[in-house]
Amino acid sequence: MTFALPALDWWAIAPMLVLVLTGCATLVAELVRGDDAGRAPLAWLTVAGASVSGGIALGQWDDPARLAFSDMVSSDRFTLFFTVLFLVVTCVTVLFAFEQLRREDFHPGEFYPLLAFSTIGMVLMAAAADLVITFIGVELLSICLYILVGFSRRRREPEESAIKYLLLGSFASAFLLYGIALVYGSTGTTSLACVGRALGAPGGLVGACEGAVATGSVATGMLLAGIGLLVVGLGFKAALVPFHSWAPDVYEGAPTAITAFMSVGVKAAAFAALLRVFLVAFPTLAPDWSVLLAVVATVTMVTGNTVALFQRNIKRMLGYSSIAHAGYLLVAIVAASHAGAASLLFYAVGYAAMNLGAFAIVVVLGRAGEERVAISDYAGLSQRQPLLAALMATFMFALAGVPPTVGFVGKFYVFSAAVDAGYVWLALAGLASSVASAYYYLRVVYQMYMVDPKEVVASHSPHRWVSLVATVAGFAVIALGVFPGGIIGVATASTSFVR
Amino acid sequence: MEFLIFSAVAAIAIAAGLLMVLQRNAMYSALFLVVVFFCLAVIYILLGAYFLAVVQVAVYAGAIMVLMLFVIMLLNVAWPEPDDRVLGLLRPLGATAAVTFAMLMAWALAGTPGLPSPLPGTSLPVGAAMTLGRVGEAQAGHVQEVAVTLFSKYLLPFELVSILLLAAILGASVLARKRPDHA
Amino acid sequence: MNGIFGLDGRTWDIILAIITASIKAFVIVNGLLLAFAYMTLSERKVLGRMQARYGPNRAGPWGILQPIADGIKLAFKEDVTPRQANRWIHLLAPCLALVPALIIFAVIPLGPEMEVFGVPWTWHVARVNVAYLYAAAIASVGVYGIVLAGWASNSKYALLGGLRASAQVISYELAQGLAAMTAIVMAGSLDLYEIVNQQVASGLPYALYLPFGLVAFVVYVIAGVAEANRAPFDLAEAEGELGAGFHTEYSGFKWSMFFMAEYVNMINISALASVLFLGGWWPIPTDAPGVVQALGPVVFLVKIALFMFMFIWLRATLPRLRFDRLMSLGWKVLLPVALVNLIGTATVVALWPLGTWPFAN
Repeated sequence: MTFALPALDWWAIAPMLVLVLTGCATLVAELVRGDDAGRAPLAWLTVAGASVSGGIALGQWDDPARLAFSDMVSSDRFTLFFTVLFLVVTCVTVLFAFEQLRREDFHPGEFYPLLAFSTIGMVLMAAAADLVITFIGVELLSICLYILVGFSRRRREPEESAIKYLLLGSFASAFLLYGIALVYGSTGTTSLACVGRALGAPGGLVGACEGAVATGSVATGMLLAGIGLLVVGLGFKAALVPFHSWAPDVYEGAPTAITAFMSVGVKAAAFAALLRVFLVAFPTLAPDWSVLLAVVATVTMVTGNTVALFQRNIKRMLGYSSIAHAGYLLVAIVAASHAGAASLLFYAVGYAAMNLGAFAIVVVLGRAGEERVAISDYAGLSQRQPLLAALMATFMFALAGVPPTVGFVGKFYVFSAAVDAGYVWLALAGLASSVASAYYYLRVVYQMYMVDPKEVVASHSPHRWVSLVATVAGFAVIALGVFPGGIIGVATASTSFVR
Repeated sequence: MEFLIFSAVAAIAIAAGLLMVLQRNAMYSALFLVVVFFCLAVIYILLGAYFLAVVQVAVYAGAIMVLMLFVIMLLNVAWPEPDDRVLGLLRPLGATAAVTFAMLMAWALAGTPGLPSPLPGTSLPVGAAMTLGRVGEAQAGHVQEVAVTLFSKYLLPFELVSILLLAAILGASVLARKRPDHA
Repeated sequence: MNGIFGLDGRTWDIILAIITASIKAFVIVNGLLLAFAYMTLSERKVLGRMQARYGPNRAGPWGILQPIADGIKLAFKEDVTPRQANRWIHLLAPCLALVPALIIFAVIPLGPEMEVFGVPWTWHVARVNVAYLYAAAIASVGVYGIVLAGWASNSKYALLGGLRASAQVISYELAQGLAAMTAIVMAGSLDLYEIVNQQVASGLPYALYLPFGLVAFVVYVIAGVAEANRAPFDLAEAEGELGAGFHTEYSGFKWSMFFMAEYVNMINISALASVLFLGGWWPIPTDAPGVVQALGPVVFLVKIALFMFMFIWLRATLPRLRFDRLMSLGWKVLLPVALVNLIGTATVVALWPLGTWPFAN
């Protein structure tokens, strides 16, 4: 039997390799330095690794799109776009966690490597050219998150969150795997492009499809069942509505840094995977699945926004708000068009800016053992810390979708893509629910500006880095809202594989 | 002959699977799951995948389930009677969902045009038939075939799984660490 | 044999194969049980000599009827099941311990394949291309017997004994598997027959493939002693601490099934060690003339007997380890040694052509 190594295209996976090295280096560094050594070096090591990785990704922008490692991963602009986005989210999470690690007395030696590894999982989900890689990416991400969610061993709630996430997450992984098995059973291949070709999709980057069935001879019933299961599996990670029940509890119990990471990074990764799978493998079946996803999107938007109205805890409120935003992002996939895909990428960036900003404020206001997460804790913030209050107000307006912020522009692109695809009712449902969402976002603003502070709270340590994140995010939210052209151009270039 | 063995084993697997779900005693559930694993191993043998069959027994039955039994024994939980107000509603709901799902899958698979399969009187989904076809031609199930596929076509996933395992080990060490006193 | 009873040749071949295999299986199972019986006798006699006493010598000449007397006693002894015990699992556990032990031997090639009066004859029940993995997988199933016995007895000593035993078996399985992998990498096959054949053909058993073969052999034997729960690794039944470990609450025939399982496992481990590292029927050539070939199984059995003697010798010589020492020996010494050893072996095999060994001669 002959054995031939596949072409080892290291450069194509270089950003991931750097992350692997970063994770291992952090592990070894902690081992060498011992527990009591300062935490800062490990954080900076992680940020440095992520920066190098991001730099490589930016440097690859003009490389030709290609499949690497026996058609397992695709190295194209879509991958690079999400890689850079994920790395930014990871760096911000490190900065958030840096404050929290000090407060909660965490062991940094496991925290940073797990964060780096979960970032690899996210990159894999975006880069996957094969369902096997999608699955490994999801699992790598999930297993790291199960631990990170329960990382605070000082209190009980995080452990409850972690076990909930673990149980439901493993269940969802089983669905995903079952879906992959059925897709393989009906098409004879797990490669996304080969599945697409078997279904009669026009070319693109297709590798060697040995074993795949001929175009047109696909077992449709089984395939549709497989697609349905894939929606369940990936929808769980994206917290789409029938599969969202874990999200608020987990978001509330996890360390705030991880909540921010999950609500932005994991969500974006899940949507990157959904986009890849549905628009590379199943574009020809769009009439079948887009109705299903449209219904899911509507339910997600309405449920997320409605339940968020009743939340008293800001992390829970942001949790439900992130469910609603998952609905908006799903609308972009329902459109199943190039414009829709580009709007998803744009919205992901905008959402990252506004949500990370909001979480930065939550982190700044927190203290050891006392996270100050009730919405009433924000009463009178404008009098105590006017800059923070102004930033928070910006993020709330952006999340509600008020112009001239990025929230407005993002929703505009997403909904117009849906209208172009003939889903006027979906766009209207999205609009109506986002109008309703203004109520709970603006309630935070109301508390900050219209209500007198209940108690005099001593000012906290300044949290330089997190404040910087908040400021940059606030700037980005406005800048992207006023000048969306640049990112939209990049997003359009990144999704050229969608027809 | 093969068909008879297959039917018997499949029936046992389904029965054990049902019993596993329906048991209240976690220990019995675990044991029925082991039975299911063995039935799967037999089916792998029927498909000519000896390596997979043996690994199925060694890894799932021999290692993972033993650890599960360990956990069950160490916790030795007196399983609390579930709250009937909650379960009373959830049980029929869950059962309905399961039956619906099973019927849906049956419908999806029944509508599948199968290729002629080596088992008389049955037809296999395309993917499975394809795999079987390759069994005949290249003696799949041979360790060598598995190894070559693993280290050529699936090299990247294989290496990525090692990162996954590293992450899992890290996680285990986090969980095993002594909890600081509750503040 | 075409056409008999309207069955074609292929069907007849299958039926014939099934009948042959059944007879062989019957002989092997009974042989193992007989070997178990006399193993207990010889253990008592050897231990006796080592401790300057006689051992059993009353039943029959030199005490050779002692095992039969013991067997009758055990079979008729009252079978007690504790009232709070889980009756079914209490019954299932000894079966789960004994059956895997008995069926492992099916894949062990006792001697070279040969022809007797023109009819092909093999000394094993089945030749499987993943034979070693089969043996390892079935052996790992045997752990269930111990775990369940400990749990079902509803006794704290049994539970602790069961936990200890299964933790020990699982831990040492790793080192044992890695050590076995050394031989497998050297042979380039998981087929036990092929592994023996390679050693016989190269003229040297793998234990003499210095240095890696010898290290692997030593690791394998140490791990094997632990796998069999034998002294000095018999913590599961440390009578001073645990009563009698996982089988505290067993008596009569069910207890004797555990007893059998332990000894049959020792035989299996010895047989596997002989196959993997001592070259099975080496130095008898595989393709020798028929009469010489028939000596193969004899050589093999002698090797097994030497291992069994070693098991007894160890028991008479070494004191029991403490449990934490036992675990750290497994995880911190044997496992890393076996791993490094395997990497070394793989390097040599990758650099030199298969079947040659640079330091052998």
